Amino acid sequence: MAQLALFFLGAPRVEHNGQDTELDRHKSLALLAYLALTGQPHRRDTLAALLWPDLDQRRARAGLRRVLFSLQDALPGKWWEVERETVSVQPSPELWVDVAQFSRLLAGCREHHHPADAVCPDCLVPLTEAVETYRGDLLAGFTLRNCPSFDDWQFALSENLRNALARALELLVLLHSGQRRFEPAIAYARRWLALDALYEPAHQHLMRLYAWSEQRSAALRQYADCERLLEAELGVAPQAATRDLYHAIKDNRLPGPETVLRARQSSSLDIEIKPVPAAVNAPAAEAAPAPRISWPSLSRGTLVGRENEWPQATRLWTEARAGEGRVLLVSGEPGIGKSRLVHELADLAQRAGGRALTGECYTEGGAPYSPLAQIIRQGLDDSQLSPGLPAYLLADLLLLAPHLRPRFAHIPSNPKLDADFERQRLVESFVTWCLALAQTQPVLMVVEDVHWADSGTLALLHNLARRVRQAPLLLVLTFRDTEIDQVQARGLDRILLDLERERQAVSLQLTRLGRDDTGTLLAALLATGTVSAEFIDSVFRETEGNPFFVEETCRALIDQGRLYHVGGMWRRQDLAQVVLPRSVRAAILARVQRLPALLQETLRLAAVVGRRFEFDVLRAASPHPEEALITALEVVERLQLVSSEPQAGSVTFTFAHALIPFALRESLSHPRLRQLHAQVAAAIEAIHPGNLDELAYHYAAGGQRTKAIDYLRRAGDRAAAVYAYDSALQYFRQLLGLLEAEPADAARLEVMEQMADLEQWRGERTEAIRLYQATLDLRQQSGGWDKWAVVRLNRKIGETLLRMQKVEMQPFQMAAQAGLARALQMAESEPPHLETVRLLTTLAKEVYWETVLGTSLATRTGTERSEAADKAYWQAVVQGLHTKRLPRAGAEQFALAAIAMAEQLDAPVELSAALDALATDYASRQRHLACVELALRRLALSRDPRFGDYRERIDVLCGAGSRLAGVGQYARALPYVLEAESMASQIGDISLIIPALVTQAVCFFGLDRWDEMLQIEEKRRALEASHGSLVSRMCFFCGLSANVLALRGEAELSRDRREEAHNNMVTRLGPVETWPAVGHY
Amino acid sequence: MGEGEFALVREHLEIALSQTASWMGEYDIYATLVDAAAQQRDEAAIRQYAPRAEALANELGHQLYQGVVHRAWGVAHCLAGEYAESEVRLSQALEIFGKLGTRWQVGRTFFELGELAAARQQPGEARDYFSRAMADFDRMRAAPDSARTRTALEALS
Repeated sequence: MAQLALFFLGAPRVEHNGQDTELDRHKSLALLAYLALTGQPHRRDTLAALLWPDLDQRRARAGLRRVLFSLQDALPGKWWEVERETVSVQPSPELWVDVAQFSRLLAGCREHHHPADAVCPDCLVPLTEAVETYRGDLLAGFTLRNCPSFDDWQFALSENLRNALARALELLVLLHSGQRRFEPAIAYARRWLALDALYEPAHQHLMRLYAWSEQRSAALRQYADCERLLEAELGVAPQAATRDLYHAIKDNRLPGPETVLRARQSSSLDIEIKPVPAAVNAPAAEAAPAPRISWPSLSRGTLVGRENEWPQATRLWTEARAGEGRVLLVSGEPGIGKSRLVHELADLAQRAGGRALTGECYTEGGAPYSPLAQIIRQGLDDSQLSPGLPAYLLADLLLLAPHLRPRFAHIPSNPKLDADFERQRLVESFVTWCLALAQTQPVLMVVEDVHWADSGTLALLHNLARRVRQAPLLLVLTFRDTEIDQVQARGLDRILLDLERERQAVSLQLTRLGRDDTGTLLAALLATGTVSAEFIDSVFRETEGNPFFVEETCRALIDQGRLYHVGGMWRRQDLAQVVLPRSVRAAILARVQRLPALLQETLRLAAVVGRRFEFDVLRAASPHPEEALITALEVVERLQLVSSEPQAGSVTFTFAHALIPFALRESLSHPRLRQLHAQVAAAIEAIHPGNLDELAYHYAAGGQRTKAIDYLRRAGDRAAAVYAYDSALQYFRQLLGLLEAEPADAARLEVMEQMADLEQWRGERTEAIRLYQATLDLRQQSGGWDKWAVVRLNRKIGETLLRMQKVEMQPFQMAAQAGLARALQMAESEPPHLETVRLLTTLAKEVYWETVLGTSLATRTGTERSEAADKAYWQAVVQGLHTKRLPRAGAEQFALAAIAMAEQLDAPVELSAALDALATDYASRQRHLACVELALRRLALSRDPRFGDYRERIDVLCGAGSRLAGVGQYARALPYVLEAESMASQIGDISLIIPALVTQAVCFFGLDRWDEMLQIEEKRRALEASHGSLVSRMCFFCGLSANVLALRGEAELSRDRREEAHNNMVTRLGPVETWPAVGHY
Repeated sequence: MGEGEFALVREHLEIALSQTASWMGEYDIYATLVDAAAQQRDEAAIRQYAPRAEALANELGHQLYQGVVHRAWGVAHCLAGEYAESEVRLSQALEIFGKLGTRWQVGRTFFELGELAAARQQPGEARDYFSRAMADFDRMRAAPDSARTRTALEALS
């Protein structure tokens, strides 16, 4: 009978009928391993995407077919279940897989009637066999190139198996130790330690084993090894337990193995049983009145019950620190302990020589990018400005963190360029700075409560998350998964889906504590050795293990005098007399309501300011004298409701948890809330008149319409100026809501057009067109007939249409064309005007693209009345144009008319755009020499001092180089594109560096300067490594370098590059049969 | 380039040529086709593409492609036994490539001159041209061309 044995632990090996079988393809082995180890059917599409992620579906499925065929050929038999849509490996008694055997043996131990992580003598045989089966790590030495999903699967499974091995080895150590068989115990302990040399419990076991086997000096050496390794790798000292053990061994105080191991063999292996002091939390002999003690404090912020999550988090930090950057997502309901976990991690990171940077998002919002501004401030505070970083990058950081501008007045602002580009560069600058910072010192970057983050912050974090892999940086984002469906958090939801799909992040979802962990937390909070079971049960029943709720419940009980500290011991009233709060909100309010009126009032006012509030603002907003406020804040700080932090020139307070101000605001009536917002707004306006975002928020919430309109407009403009388009839109939507109460006026129309511009910039072109159209309609309804506004809006609709995909544009095309024609009719009777030049340029491009895309009006078969009417109208207009002063409607004619008018108006920028439109048309008609002339003319124009657009100048240089190279004038083209590259590098514009490099590559290739051509390719690859998706699809480079490599006889490398070029083309343009001419060329 | 590969090149480039409103230069496509045909020593294909390639290169003043077309004609004439015409064309190509300083193209043209001399039964001249081609190829580290030229030299001795 045929037999198949698959060895995946260690170097992979396949044994078919007792013979080693070689598989001819790397991917065959990967597929076999994946199918055999997952043990379930998989869809062909899933497998194809797993193993050929770079190919389109059709080619990937073809690859899968070939590999399946090859596998079935190499391993014939009943192993395969190959269906039309799914593929699996059939389970069979003749199929043996070492990983399954390893897991089976370990699972067998769990049937021995003891807890899963305990051990008994019957475990000895299966555990020994299991660790012998484990020859090495999963698929040791085997990797699949360019298959990140497969890598992730392999890595995760390999880690699980290693962890299982570690547990098995630990159990074997315990078993042998318990039976005083120290030699095998030491051997297993050494193997266990080899899995993770920094794991202190393994060091401790080995120390004990040496000591028990009378090798005291070896035990002390083991401690010295442990100390040295921890210092060298993490920069930390051994834990107290390890140090205590060392001293116990040194002083000959180590108990025998039976004493130490008894508890562990009878109970959980993961929890040390410590001596327990006498119970002190019994009910007080006298129920009431309880003695009140001044300001008893809770030991807040203890990390409890995260035995699974904490090791994962620290592992990610260790990996990140070693240069394999990671992203960690920590989620859970409010109060679950997300902040506590990341604070502990930050402490660990700092102790290990890393730099921890933290930004927080607040429900009350704030300026765009404010969490990143906090991070930038910390980063710039404790590091020198890196001299290696370009000035434009630092200027961008100051744009994100404008409050730092006065400190860095010597850094000039960047020149104003086009919005799309600047937004992209802002992202690049932030990411580059983070990565550069991490190169000087490993960085743990935490952004808390990202469900409240603005879209600009999310966009930057998303980009950073995609780029951290090669840097010593761990990015940690915390969020409430309970709020992910809220409108505010939708941007985050999209990013989380992306990160999950791209397998960029590890998620830790924190759950509530169990009953025992609640007890541990209570013991930690009360700083006592033990807590009575009855008290734990009561608290657990009410709080259901939410750590913050547990803390607040304790606090409420203390404040009510139900729980008190006397004579060094905690006492409580009889539980029958204690009423525990029913919700966390109730717990918070119960505490606040017991305070004097002034304190309550102060806290509520502070809550309206926000989670963080400045004393000066509070003082200005409050009707109470300063002295009274200071006293009130001292009291609430001692009550651990807020904490203070002195900052330059002021003191800032932060509520201990985001839920506290939330609960306080919720407790206010609407009129009171409105009144307090108005008070706060007036205070901020007096102290920080530049805090536009806060002023807009508080004036709007305070119902101060006029002020709200003013600040919403200004905050929106400022958000737009720093490319936080979503934030700007939010302000403008709110503003529009206030303006809609009145008849349409110029202000309302202006806001609508601004919103349309913003939608256009953020790529929401359908929405942009809808808004432009609505603005046009409203203008006409309101009777305010500004001719140039109508021309401009129609032109913008046309330009937006040109940026749309073919399918996307179809519903709007007819109306947009009609609008352009109408605008043209309006403009033609006017004297020359810049808006007419822009309109004609847009028309030239529109007609050109219509020709290229083959969607001319004549081919349309619209049947709806409105479309038919538009069509007739458009045709009539086109007919009419033939007989009027403007030239007939062809791309060339429109462009020529635009050029003539721009010349007449002496407008170099508009003239350059019109010349470019003409060149585009000429190139498609093979009029290449004419294109060269136009490019050189644009070049001359760009030297005009009035030609202020720096980026346009680079584009012109690239264009001149490209056109000259196109007609074989390589030597003449080169200086232009070298200059373009240099200028683009100064502003960090990858989108212009790349075309400059493309033309350089063409020139060097045409001039037989192969070495320089290959250097360009290296440069391109370096950019790809640092800028990822922006340059990764440059098939043209791959193709050229493939040619040079082939001419150099480097066939294999050339073939790889050619395949890369081909795959890039397929990814970019789809299947070969749909490629345009350039693809075939 | 193998025969099958040349067929594939032709197939793709013919598709590219057939597309309207292309961003591609027609002259690029013809120059590529004619050069590939010359490398393949396919006289019929050279004669099919060279006239259009030449007209387009001349129209644009595209010197590199003018040189490429001259050399392709040189190969076609040589294959047809029209040695004098071949020599004229190859000399014109050599002159253009020399001015441009494109060393690999110069080497390839020397190689074709060597082939022409060999066809004319002039082994001394052939050896001289092949040696010059070899020097250029070596300097460019164009290993396959060096090997091909070495074989041609060995065949002469």
